[in-house]
Amino acid sequence: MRRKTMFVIAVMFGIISLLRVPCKAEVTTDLFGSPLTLMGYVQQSVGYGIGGDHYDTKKDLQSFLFQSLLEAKYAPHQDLKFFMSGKLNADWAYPVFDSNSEWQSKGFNQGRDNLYIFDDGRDLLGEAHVTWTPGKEYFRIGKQIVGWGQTDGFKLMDQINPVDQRRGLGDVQFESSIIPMWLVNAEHNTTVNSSWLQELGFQVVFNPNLEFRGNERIEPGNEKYGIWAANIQTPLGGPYPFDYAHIGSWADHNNIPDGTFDRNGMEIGVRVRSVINDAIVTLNGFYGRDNDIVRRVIGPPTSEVSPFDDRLIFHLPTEADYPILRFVGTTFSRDFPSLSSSALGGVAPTWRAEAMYVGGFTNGSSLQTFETSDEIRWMVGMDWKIKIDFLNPKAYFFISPQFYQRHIVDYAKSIPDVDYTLTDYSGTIQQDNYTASLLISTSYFHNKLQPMFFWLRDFTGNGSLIKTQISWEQDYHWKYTLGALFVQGADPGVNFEPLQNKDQVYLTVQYRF
Amino acid sequence: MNRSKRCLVFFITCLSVALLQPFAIGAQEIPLLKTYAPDQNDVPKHKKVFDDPTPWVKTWNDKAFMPPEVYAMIASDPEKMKTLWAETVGFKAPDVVGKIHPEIKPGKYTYTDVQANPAFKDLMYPDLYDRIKPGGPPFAGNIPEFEIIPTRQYYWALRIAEATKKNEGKTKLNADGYVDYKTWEGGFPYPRPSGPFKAQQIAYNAFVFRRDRNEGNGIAYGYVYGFDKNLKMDMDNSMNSMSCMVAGRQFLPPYGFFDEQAKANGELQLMTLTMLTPRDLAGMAILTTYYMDAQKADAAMIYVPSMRRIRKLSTTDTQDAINGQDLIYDDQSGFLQKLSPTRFPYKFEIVEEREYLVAAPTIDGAEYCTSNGLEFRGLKMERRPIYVLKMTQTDPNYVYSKRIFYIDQETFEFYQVENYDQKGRLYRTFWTPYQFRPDIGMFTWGGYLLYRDHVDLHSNVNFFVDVTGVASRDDIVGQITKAGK
Repeated sequence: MRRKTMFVIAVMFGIISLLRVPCKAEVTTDLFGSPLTLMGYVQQSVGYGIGGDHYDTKKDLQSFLFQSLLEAKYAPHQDLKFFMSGKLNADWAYPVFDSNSEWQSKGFNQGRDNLYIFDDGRDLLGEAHVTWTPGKEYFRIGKQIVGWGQTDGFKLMDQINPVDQRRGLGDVQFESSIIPMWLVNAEHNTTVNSSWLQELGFQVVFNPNLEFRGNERIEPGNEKYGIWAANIQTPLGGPYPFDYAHIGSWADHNNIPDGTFDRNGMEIGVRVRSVINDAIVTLNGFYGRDNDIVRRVIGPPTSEVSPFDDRLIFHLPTEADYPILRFVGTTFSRDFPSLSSSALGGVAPTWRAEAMYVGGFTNGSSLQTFETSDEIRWMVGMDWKIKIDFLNPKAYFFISPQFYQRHIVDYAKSIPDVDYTLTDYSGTIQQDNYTASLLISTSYFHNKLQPMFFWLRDFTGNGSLIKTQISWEQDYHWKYTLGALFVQGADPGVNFEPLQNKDQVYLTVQYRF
Repeated sequence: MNRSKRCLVFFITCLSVALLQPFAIGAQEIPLLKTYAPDQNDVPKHKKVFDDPTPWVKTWNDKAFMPPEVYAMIASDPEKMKTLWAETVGFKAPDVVGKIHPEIKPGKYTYTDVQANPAFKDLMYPDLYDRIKPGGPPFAGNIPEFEIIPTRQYYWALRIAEATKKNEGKTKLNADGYVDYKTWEGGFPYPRPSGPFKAQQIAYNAFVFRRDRNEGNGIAYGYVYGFDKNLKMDMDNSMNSMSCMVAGRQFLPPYGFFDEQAKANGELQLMTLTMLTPRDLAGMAILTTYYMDAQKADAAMIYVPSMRRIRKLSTTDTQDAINGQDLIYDDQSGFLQKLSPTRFPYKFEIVEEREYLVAAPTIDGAEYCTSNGLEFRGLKMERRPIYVLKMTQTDPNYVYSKRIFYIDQETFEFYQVENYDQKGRLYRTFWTPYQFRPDIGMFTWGGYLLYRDHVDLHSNVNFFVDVTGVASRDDIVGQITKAGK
């Protein structure tokens, strides 16, 4: 463990030595006559728990998240570019609280090996790709991120890269929340000599399954998922401490592709992208593995007793799989100038929409079976700026609402005359699941003070997440953020409810270069 | 046929249909910009933004960049260009200045000379006069010393001058003074502004149909530094913008419309602005299609590097400051707002036609900005015949109540823009002395620009290098993801 700490300290010193280059927004040096550009950031956050003293959280100081990123770009030719990024992500809370009795009683100390430093090679290496752009073609090979879809905050068609929620929902940078994958990305883009069709592009993305990886979700099991573990309880019906038991980490019997070019884990995505009368329209198709795991319990649990509250912790043996995901879909986005109003600042809203048909998707069920059914998922969102002079006379307010529906076509019909529900990683899912979000932001003092408010509402699962923060961007190097996260859920075990003790205030200092 | 096979058939069908579409851009007539443009990383080797008096333009210019056959297309005999332009506008600047305080002669002056002689206050517009002092808070861009040079005769490239002369009188204004863009065929539409809509004619020459920056063709490498009221640097922003004028082309082939798509859609210009630094913005690129019709909203999309996605942008989002800079989208290039009779329309007035002492366009690039005090040094000034154009905003919901432009009567280039907020306070100013290329008859931004926010007490010092050339539609569109991560 000491070696890990020394490693982090060495990396920090390395980055700090880079920071000694004064007054530059990036570091550029010459390599074989072409520029090598280095950029990145170092960020230290402190998380303060305000959710109370519960089994799944620590009151008061609870995390000291360190995130750093170093990006290197080398372009030996205008059509050829190499890009590589390295990440170091550590939570000092694990060594700092290692001997803390509260930390130990809740089992967080057992997560230290997994969660103190993400020192696995696949976590340390962010992206690593080479891009060749001869004329209308675009080829990128390597570990990369490919973004699809039009939705912010949650994912519909954006299924190529898994997400990483191991550091929770606080002040986590984009690079810490997305997992680059080894992909081959080929595109042909061209302008079209037509009065209505302005651009046309074709994209093929192939995942050869060099390394299989799914979403790193927030899951139950303090000893495995640490301070961000989900809190799921199962009622026992007895007196304390047998009123309920905690669900611990799953004992998965996985049916997961091996990686290393196993055909079962290969994926392919095809997209046609066009600009039609100034609207961006895409047609997307995908065949591969879903990034979320689906489980069914296959036997009685093993159990242990929690030193925190003497309740049982059940570890459920499950059959787990990353189900096949195949979908076709479309996206649309366009601004509508006729909807602008000068009284509100004159900005026309930009509408975003995406819809996808998922064929034969597998979910779990309350009967502990796997169920296959088609799904329709669609969303509509808007990006709009309005001027509210009495609140901010110099800058606009950015407002971005979104609405999402997930409809399961043949819901829970596999077993006739039996009333049951379907399940996924987030808990119970209904035939129609509705989610909405709202983002509002603005800036003051010449863009230095940046307040932001984000609200995510799961109407079906009766839960909400609110994240609000205010940042002070002192200059192009230093940025300070104070934020708060509030999670609420009413339906036990569903979506946000297992996270409702995670309310947190965080303070972040970030240095960018 | 199972579902996956049906999906495959569906996409193959889509691909086939799409491939049958007629693709644009035939063979280019000249070598494209991308084949010879220098790398942006070469800029600091020729001119550093601060403390560098190197006359970089002498050795690092279009003649050095371009294949000879391209340079031959744009270069002409300066005397021939001078003669034609004087015939086109009806005068030569040196002939019409020198009437106000003729006792102020060419020579070197310091701020103490200016403060000691009230004639300078009369000879300079107020904001420039206020800048003649040593550098120091709260703003960058003061001028402690300068040299007055004899007034030059400026001119435009031969083909632009020929088109301007040939097309004079063809570009029609409607009853409200707004242009019928379908009647414009190239060049400056109103070389001799006159009549009841003289102010609008000047505005169209200077803003909508401006011919500077290589008639909108090429790539500009830009550096924007921001300074707070204590002159502490809080922004270090580098970028480039690749653009292509697609209508009324005279400077570089193809002449007239760039292609059928530009003609059919009434497009004026395509531009991709790419941010290179700071890290939070690096890779962000905005592709904008500007339309000639003031009633038709422009189209824009943005590559967001953090999301690795191209998103649609609203082109009506024009009044917020750009990335914390001291200008809004409508202030780009000094003025980039559509002249519309319905959307934030203006009342146009010429409030003065007189000579002013203004910063002379640089010829050799020897001017420089000091890191200590952020002063501009090595500046030359000259007397110029100026239109002072006042544009009063008629919609009180707009960020500015009025704009005042100092526009050269001979070239229609504006040296200074003053933007006032709805309370009547001077809000933002935009200052550019330009670079003039005598061998081709062209004004560019090759040199310094200054933006100031007089309310928040913030300044931007900008340095630009313009490279002339033709970019294809695919080059411009492809640029949006090229710098992305």
